Amino acid sequence: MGKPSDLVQGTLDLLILKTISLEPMHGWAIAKRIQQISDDVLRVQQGSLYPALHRLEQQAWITAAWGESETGRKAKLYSLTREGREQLDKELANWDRLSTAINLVARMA
Amino acid sequence: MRSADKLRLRLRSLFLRSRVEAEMAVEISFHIDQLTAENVAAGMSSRAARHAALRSFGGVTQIEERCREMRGTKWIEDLGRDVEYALRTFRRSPLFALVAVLSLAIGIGANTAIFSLITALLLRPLPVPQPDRLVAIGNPIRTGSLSDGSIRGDLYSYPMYRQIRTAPAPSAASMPPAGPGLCG
Repeated sequence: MGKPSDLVQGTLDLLILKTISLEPMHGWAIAKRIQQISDDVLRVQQGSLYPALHRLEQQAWITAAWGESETGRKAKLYSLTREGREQLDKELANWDRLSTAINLVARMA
Repeated sequence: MRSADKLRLRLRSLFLRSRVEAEMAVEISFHIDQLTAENVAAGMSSRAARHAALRSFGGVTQIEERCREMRGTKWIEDLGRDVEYALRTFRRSPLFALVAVLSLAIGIGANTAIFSLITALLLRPLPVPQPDRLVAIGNPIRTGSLSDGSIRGDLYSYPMYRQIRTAPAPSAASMPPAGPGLCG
């Protein structure tokens, strides 16, 4: 699952929302975190990450504030809004439904 | 609440464009620097590390463009640029602009004039109550019938009709050869 096109369609939003639901993060950290948590299976390409972040921000699901990175540099930190939290719940429910359905078909005896 | 936030963001990307752009540049250069640092930590020279970072980041310009698209104000910005470009072209060749404006004006004017005539004559009912009971009065031998579509200029004018109506009943002597008649 190296390339962004290999990410299951529409799951990038879910991954981003979930990742920043724990604490505000900048884009770099979001990509790193997703990669780490998924044991290097999911690699979010910058080419899809930043457009997705900007889109989610425009949807008012995440909001950006300027803060400092771990290295003390100015960084744009994204965090979830209340609407974003609701959207995350929706996306999670949707994902559960979808993965259950796919499993049902894939593991058909 | 959410729509207000969205509106605020749209207005921000429209009117504080340079700031939004600068923020995006900072954000992306931060990411590239992080990639570079990671590459250096992996043992690359700083030059090679930067090159590798830029390569793995992909086309910065394309990514920036896609981010701009996501802001949802791109079409307004594009429209603004197009208008600006058109105005500049006009200023450079004013004669061309004049000819273009004139031909548009004449074209639109002629179309409007013809259409308003057609719509009044053919498409809308006549602006009178019971338009089907309208009659034209004239000399039937010379005018023929209106419904034949042959109007030949021998219809009587309205003042003449009023005169005929108020005139005492015509005597045989004063009657014109065929007498006034109705034609529908």
